[in-house]
Amino acid sequence: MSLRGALRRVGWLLPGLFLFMLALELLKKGAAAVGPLLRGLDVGGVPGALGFGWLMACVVLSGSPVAAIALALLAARTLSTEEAFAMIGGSRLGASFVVLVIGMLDDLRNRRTEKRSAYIGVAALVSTAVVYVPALGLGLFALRAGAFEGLRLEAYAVGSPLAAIYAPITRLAASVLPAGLLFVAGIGCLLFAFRVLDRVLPDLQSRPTPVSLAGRVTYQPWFMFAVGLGVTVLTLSVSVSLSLLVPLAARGYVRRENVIPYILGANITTFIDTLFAGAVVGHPDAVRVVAVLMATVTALSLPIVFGFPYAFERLVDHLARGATRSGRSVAWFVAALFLIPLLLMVL
Amino acid sequence: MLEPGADCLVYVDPAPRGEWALAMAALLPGRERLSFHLLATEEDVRADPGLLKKARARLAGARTLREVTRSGPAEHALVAEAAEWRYGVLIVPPAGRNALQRILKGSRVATVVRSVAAPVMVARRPPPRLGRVLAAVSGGRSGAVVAAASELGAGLGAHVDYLHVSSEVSLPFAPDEARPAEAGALDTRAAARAALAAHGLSGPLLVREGLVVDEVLEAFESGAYELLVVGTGAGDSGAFGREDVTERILLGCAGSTLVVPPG
Repeated sequence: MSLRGALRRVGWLLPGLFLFMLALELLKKGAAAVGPLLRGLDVGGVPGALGFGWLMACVVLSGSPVAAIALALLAARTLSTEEAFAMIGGSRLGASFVVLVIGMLDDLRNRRTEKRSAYIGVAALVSTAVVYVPALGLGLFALRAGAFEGLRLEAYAVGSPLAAIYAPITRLAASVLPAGLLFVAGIGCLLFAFRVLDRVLPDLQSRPTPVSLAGRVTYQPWFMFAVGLGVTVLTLSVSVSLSLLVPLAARGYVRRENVIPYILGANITTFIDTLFAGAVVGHPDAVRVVAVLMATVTALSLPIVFGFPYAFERLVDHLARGATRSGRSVAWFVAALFLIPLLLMVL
Repeated sequence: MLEPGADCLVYVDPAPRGEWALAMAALLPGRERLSFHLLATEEDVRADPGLLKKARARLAGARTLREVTRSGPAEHALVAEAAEWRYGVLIVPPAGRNALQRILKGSRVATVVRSVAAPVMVARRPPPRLGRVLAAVSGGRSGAVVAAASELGAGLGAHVDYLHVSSEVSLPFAPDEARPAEAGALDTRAAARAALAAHGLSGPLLVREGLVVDEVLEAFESGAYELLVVGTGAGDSGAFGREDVTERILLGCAGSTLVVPPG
């Protein structure tokens, strides 16, 4: 990347952070209107919050904004610590839905009967669920046991100067808009902030990397896990990391042996932006819930990658192949993807 | 590989598994035209001075029989011997190490396969006759596997099936121009078919989709095959971060396996 290109990217950082923090403030101020809505939808307790986060991630086609919203709701005391934790976990369960949607459209467009694109989306969702569901249970246990209780990360250095700018804006918005609209404006601002922050990310696509052979060569699981971790530190999104495989793999194909550990790695570092959101929302447990989830996901992913990666690949491949065997099986999978969170919400 | 006069190195192991290598050597087609070199470690011969004599008796009728001893362990003896003589094939029984022993000492057959340039036949419970052979052809480097499998199949009068496992899945975000326009060497299935055609084989190519190691082993088991022929990754499987698929197939296969280096 040229110096000019680097400077242009850095130039997007400040507006991106500003919009991100403004969005969190708008969400916090508008959260008062969301409490009755959540109660109206019967969203309460850990299962309800889990289902709500999951469903919302499917609807907005991304997990990170939903996780940030969960933290804003926590900061506004609309959600309890455990509910925010569950909603963030749920957001990850639905986060790869966008990969599945695009894969399905791609298969339909190409009338493909094999090497289905939908496979990647299903593999991402299944890999995530197999790790996250037990990680959520373990994390709840850890939260109740007081894990990371002393952990405080507060982004005053970034927050204070920007707060001086966004505080009058949020005050004005709060005086003009009703709380519900304020919350919706916050969601819109958050989605826009993520788009702006995307411009800050380095252009990995034009760089030669070991992943350029991922469609032809089979890598060891720990290697692809590390690549998934590393790439997602830069992209912050599992979906974007998966999309990066396209130009990196050069030919539009990737070996399934490579993609499963890659997703496991990506699923850990995708929390970095949520961790940042936790540091700026101003709730003592905000960073803690993200840290607990990151820790439990990591604790469950490492034995898989280093202990029994092939059995895990076999399980995910078996499920993903079953779910993408025909158009009907994909439809059933998608239906389950919406029905399970709905069921959790009405529990 | 087994042309008349070819040299075959057979590792003579005093353990019961040693019999597997001798039985497999005896099954090779055209034994009377082959030269067998019986290798044992000095330590094993000291412990059982009649070890190589008994092995000679099992391969009676061969064109020539030569006894060789080298200092152990077995994998070092095999690699050293293969470096000094141009062998058509090495026949080795597995050491029978469990997972923990493999972590501590490594795998004997995997070490040999990695270290020698000749085809290596890993003998496991050979049947009285080799009637069904499965050759796993992966694409660009399939020529040597197809040649070895067809040669063995013809010599043994065995039925040979050629299997290609497609592990690739499409990436949903790929623009159309990134899709392979049946792109020559990198379209692995087309390359596998081309390798069959180059050897005058017009039979069907069995195709499975899934994880390569699992699909190959599953096809071998479910098809009741007696010999699996696989290729090696032309030396790049040892590169940093790369998976040695051949080694996993070799260690996971319940039957005998012939590992063929690229031609």
